[in-house]
Amino acid sequence: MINMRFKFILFFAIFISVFLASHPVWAEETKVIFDFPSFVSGQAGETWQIFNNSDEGLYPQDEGLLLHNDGDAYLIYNQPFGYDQFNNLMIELKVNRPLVITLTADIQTLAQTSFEFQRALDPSDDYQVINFSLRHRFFKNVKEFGINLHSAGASDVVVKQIKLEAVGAGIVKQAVSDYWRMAPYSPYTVNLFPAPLIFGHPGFIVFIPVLTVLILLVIYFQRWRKWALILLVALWLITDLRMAYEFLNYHLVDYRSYLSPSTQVKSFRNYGDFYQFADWVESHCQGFSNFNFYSFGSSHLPRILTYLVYPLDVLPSGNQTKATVVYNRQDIKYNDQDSRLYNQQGPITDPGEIIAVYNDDSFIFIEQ
Amino acid sequence: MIFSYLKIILAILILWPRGYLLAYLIDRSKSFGFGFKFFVGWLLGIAGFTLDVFAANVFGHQPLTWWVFLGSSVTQIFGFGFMIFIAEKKLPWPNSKHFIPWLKVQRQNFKSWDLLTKSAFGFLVLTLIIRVGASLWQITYIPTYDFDAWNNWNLRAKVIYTQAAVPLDSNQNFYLGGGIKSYPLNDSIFKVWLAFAAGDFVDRFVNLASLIYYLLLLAIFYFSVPKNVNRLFKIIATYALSSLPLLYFHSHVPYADLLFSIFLFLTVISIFYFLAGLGNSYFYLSGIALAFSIWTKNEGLSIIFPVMVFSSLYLLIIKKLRFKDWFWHWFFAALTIFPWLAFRFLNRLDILSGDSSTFNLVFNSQFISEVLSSIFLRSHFNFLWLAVFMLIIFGGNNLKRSLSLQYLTGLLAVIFFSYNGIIIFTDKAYDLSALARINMQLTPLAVALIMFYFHKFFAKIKLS
Repeated sequence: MINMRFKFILFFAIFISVFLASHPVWAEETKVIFDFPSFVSGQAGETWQIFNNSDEGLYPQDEGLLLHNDGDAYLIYNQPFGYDQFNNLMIELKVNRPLVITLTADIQTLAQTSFEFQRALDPSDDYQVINFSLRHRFFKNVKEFGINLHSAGASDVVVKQIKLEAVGAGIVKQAVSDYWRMAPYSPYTVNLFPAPLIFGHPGFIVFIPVLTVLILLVIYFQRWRKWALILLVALWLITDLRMAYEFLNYHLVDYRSYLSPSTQVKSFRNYGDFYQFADWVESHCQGFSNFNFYSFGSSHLPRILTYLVYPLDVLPSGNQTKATVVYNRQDIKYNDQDSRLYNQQGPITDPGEIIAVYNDDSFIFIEQ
Repeated sequence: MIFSYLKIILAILILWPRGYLLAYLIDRSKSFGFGFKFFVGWLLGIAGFTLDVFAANVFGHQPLTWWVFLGSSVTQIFGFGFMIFIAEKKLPWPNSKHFIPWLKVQRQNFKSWDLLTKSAFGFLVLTLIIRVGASLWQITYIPTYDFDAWNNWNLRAKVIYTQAAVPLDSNQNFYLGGGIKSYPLNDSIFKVWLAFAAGDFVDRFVNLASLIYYLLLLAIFYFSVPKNVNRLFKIIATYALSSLPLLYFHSHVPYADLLFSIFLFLTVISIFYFLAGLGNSYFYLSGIALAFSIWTKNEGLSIIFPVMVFSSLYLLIIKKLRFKDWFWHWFFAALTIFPWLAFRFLNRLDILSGDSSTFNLVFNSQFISEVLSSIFLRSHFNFLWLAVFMLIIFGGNNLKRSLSLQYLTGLLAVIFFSYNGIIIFTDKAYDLSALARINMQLTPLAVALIMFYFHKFFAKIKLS
């Protein structure tokens, strides 16, 4: 038993040393990398680049700098650093349209980003402050990073200040905040979850040492067994709570995007309006038993439609049958001259007529 | 809509008597508790029913009408009832006079629980209500979304429901219902029955199957635990199982993995109970559960079946089994699964999951980190697998003192490494999509291992 206790204490000491060595404590430090004065003085001009935007200028406005965003502009900061130097990025800005801001590490080479580096912003007359924790494996050593400003259509973005900060305190707070940040629903969730992350790593990496210690206590130390067991149950409860929150979030997303909106605007996960389209096909395909199907988007769409509209038989495009169903194909058009459907290669049907229209690029065509 | 749900409830209830009688018939050593028989019976009722429907349609050429469904749900009541009568010279009729006293005993038992156990039980029930409510919401309002659901499991159910038959023309798109033809039909035919009862094939009705599997798994797990195990352990273990994120997620995903996991659990845990001296009945139940696992997913035939053959041979060699028991175990298992295996053989369906399976040995070194991450780090299984591995590594010495626990640990390890070995060392792992799900199938056994380990070696812990 003494031997085992010695091993245990040794193990624990090694673990604590490794853990502490890998978590340096920073001094407070701040570096303003974007603001009006630095552009006026010319300092910032060399470190920033505007990319993927027709207007590459910045214009003074409300103590900040205005960018006329086409809808997908990038601000690229090209000075190298690592999160041991700066572990937080603060952006102070305002927008006139809903905007999604995405931070991408090494944008010109590896282009690494994840949901943790994405924030949605509502239009506002006042400046809003957004913080991104850079204590993440993508930012261990970066050569440059990009800030993508994505809006539906053109928008005006006024940036007052961007700062790199070294925050001494708050590692634990950051870890907790990371852990509770929800990943968006993925079409592969049935097979794997986007694990709760801490500093860009699965959260369980942090738990493993604690877990190991507790299990060793349970097995070898009768005196502490009871308390170790209680702590193990508590650890389990925390994960359960976290994952229950994730499921709740999935339900909320489904409610907000699919159940609550009207039929015209509802969207189902990564298939958009396809399920509404399938209902529409089913209700308009009376009188024939199969159809050729042309679609744009996910390669799964024909198989999903097969299930949704069965016993209607969904055939791969190009079969000899009277009916053709087209979904979101901009390249397939009806030709008034000879009453056929054409794609870029030529006619794909015999003469006929469009009997129902879902939208400009989606319809049902019947050959005569 | 409420009327449709009532019909579905009736459709599920009607499958219980034949299953209960089968469980009763298997229990010749009178080892099963009532709760265990009650829920295992339901499971056996569902699987036996779907297999009979399949046989009636495919071999008897009967279209799937009310007569076939009702016949399949009740005829075995007479068959099993007759066999019980032959064995016991009596029938296990329900006696209403016993019901009220039985309820009083249960109430009295509950009152005798200590406060901590009662609180844990209350917490388990509360979390289950929330989880089941959330799953029900998803099933009711969200259409079938996941790949294998619309490509296989639900598609086959819809085709069979619509055609009122299992399509047998192998030249047609919808042979055996479409999708991957080698997939067994247990789950799909159960969904056909739910749709038939509801009067239409609607996702919100057929997808209830997954929630039923989830609840059955938890109930069977809870009631399978012998009475001498600390009740608090039992409640905590059931809560742990119910809260495994991926397992819970499958309570509203229309796949068959959850159903398969119940049969796999019963197959292995029954032999554990048999070795622990709880009676021969468990050994026979294991064979029947294995047969139904083959009727549920291909892993049953390609992985679990050979593992169980070798493990039973080993037990025979070390004289933990009598040859007579060994023989009848396999005889009844073979008899149960005969219709499906005969059909598979005659129609040359592939043994492995895909229709054009290859099985070459390769080394997928690129998958190793993903495998480790999926099992240990992504919260799919909370820290279950970490705990299992640490327990075996640090506390493995204790296992020498218990053959039954050695068996449970060994089987869990063999199946675990077979599953993950196929992913790492063969070309079957196209995209790792099944990785987390196949490990999920083993989680009830993993939770049971931890619970019995604690019971065996640390049962003196008093938490209250």
